[in-house]
Amino acid sequence: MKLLILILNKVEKLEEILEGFIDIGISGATIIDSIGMGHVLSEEVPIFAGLRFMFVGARPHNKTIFSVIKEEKESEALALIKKIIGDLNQPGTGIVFTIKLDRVEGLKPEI
Amino acid sequence: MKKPGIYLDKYLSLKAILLNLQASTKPALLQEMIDKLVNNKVIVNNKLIFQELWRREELGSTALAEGIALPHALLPDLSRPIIALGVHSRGIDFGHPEGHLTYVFLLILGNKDDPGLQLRLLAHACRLIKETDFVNQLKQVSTPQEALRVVEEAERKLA
Repeated sequence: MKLLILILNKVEKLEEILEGFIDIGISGATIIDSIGMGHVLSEEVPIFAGLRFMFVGARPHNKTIFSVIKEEKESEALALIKKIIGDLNQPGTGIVFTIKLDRVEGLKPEI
Repeated sequence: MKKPGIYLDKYLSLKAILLNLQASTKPALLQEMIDKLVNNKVIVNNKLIFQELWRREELGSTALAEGIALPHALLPDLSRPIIALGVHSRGIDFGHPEGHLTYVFLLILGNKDDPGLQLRLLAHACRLIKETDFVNQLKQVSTPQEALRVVEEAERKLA
């Protein structure tokens, strides 16, 4: 099992991603509202105000999606995400990574 | 041997430590530091330095509650950062929003093509200010050598 974490800058794509997840058999995810470090530093820590330009492109608010997925779904999920969001190397898209899990309890059966 | 990382004393020379600052206003203080650094051949006389420092101050004062300010600017044609340290025994109003006087001035001039390093230097300076007592110690130094030792000691405590 893997934990897939997507920090989604392009928040308007959330619905499409969740629909896509269901389509490929990933039926559970937790979504939280989150905020980027760059935004906090440049907007809320006055000393860094002069370096705001370094964080241009990254949106201030994003969604963080956590989903426990079967290992065999990983490639498909990552491909789906990249198809919907686009090139993750571009600013303002997002970051995705997976972590191997040793133990999972409480997961609902797949649909 | 120091572990790799950001250290202020790497960019701070004795010639860039200016005790007994006298100016009584913010622009005069910045100009006094620039003039002294030019006299000490740390920097070349350049109107752009004051302009860029002032431009940053106009976004919001770099004065912190701990009695120190971090005036900083990114400049073209600077091969490596230059850090200067100024101490004003009476303190001046450097624009802290709650009116705290500023006694210590850590001036950071960075390379316009390397804003990432400037960001790290500022973040590191903030850590030193919050996690060591070096601002209070700097207020009491009487020689540049003593000031440099205070900075070096603070860096050791943080490492």
